[in-house]
Amino acid sequence: MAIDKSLVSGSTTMLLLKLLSEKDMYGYEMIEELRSRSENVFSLKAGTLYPLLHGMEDKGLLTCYEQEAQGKVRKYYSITGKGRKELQERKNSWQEYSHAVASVLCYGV
Amino acid sequence: MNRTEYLKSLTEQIRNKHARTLVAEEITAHIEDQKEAFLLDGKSDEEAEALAVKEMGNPVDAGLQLDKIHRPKTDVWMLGAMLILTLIGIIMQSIICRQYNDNGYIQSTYHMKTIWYNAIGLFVMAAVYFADYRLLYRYIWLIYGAYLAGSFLFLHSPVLDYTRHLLLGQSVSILFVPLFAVFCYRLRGQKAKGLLKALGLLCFNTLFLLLAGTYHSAEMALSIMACLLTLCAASFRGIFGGRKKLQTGVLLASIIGIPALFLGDVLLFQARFLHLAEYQIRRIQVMFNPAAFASEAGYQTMLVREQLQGASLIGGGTIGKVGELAGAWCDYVLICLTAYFGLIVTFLVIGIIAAYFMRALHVSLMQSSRLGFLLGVSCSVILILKSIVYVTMNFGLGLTVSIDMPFLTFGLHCAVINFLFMGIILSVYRNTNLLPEPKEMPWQIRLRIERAAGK
Repeated sequence: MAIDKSLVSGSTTMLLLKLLSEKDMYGYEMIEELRSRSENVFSLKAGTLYPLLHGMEDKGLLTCYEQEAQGKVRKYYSITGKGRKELQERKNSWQEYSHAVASVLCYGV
Repeated sequence: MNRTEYLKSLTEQIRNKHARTLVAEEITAHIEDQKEAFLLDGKSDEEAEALAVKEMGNPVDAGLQLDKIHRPKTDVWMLGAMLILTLIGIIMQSIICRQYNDNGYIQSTYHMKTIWYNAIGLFVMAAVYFADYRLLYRYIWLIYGAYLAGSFLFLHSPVLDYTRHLLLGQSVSILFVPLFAVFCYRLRGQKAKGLLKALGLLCFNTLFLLLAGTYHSAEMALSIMACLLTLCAASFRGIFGGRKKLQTGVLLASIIGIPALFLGDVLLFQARFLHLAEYQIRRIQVMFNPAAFASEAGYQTMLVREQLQGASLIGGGTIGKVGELAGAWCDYVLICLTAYFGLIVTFLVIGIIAAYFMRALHVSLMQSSRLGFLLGVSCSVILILKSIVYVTMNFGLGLTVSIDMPFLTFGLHCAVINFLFMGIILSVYRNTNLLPEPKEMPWQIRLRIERAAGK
């Protein structure tokens, strides 16, 4: 089932922060991981991903470093303390929002 | 659209040329990864390449968004605070100069000289601010060679009198700190070996400066401490690779242990192992018990304490008895400030300086570029250490040493060096997420591959 993109765009930052809260990752790895965990629902384009990552890095939510892996030098992103705090806030807001939506949809059912 | 066209369309939207390289490298790596995945799916090389580029999305939209992020940054607060503090420094020098001039101690041209020295310092700061700090990495051997040769030749110059020799020696010690940071970056990824090489370089440089004719000075001790703290930050960030917690722990233990041994030798064994001069031993003893030396080496500390006891929140419009201290325009500007304007103004000035350097350290620690991180941290740390020693001395608590306070102290050497360091920090901040980390030269990569292959 195709998902309305506007539903996804607002939460992409939260999803990326969640992935990076588990381990450091490079861009392509994040897209693949997101696609796999969401069973192909979240198919993020690189053109959307990198401005988001660079923006988060600029705000101090992420830091990055280069590391050699499988013969290639890759740019890994790592979540900062500020990033973890931001993730927690976004998760709380999301839970509140989804609970409110569910309450409306289930009302009287 | 092929890969080249895609990258061209995307990078054309980014105005900063350094950021274009940074982004292009990352996007190219992504296309490569995507292409490999398609090849594994059984697509032909041509087909995989075309599909990988198509998967990337709209290059113009991405480029426009990236352009908004990758712009040179200006820290208006830091620049504004720097100008205000410089102005306060000039005003204080002018006040001290006027009072001293009445006593006939110093020339009336001193306050004009202060303006000139700060102007030269600000010019140096501006030049460094707009420069690419990676030049330090590219030409480090040339710069370090010139530093060693220059130090040796200047310190042996027959035209230098004692004071100039002392000042030059202090400046030379301090100037090593950012160079050391660049060497730490060069040794990245070499694990414990890299760390030991960095420590070896620090020992070599210290011995060289001592043999070249510098004196044991507070600046030298602070510069060694700043280098060790930079090394500690490098280990903690994992720049050397390997067991970073162990490396950081050992370094922190050394940072605490070395001064403890130093103090122990002075206080318990009269500096038998350090071979310090008599007056240096006395200064350390004074720090712990100034009253015991009130008529000699403890005189300055006791005078400062006496003046502080009589200090009020609003000043009395005079610099008081501190005017009797030699070199108050260099070493005791804060206590003069307290006497003239009162404690409120003094604490305000100290607060702004502390906030300034904390901000400097914070922006340095947040750098993604490891070279920017090391340079920013090293310059912030040395400025913070100098300020701590100066403030404690002005409150009659620390060592009585000849050390300068950024923004406030009179002198050409210190104005130029402090502004140079602030220029490096601001340049690092200006280029946040703009400058790609410098890479090894092609011949270095070839050498590494040959070594790995056992040739």
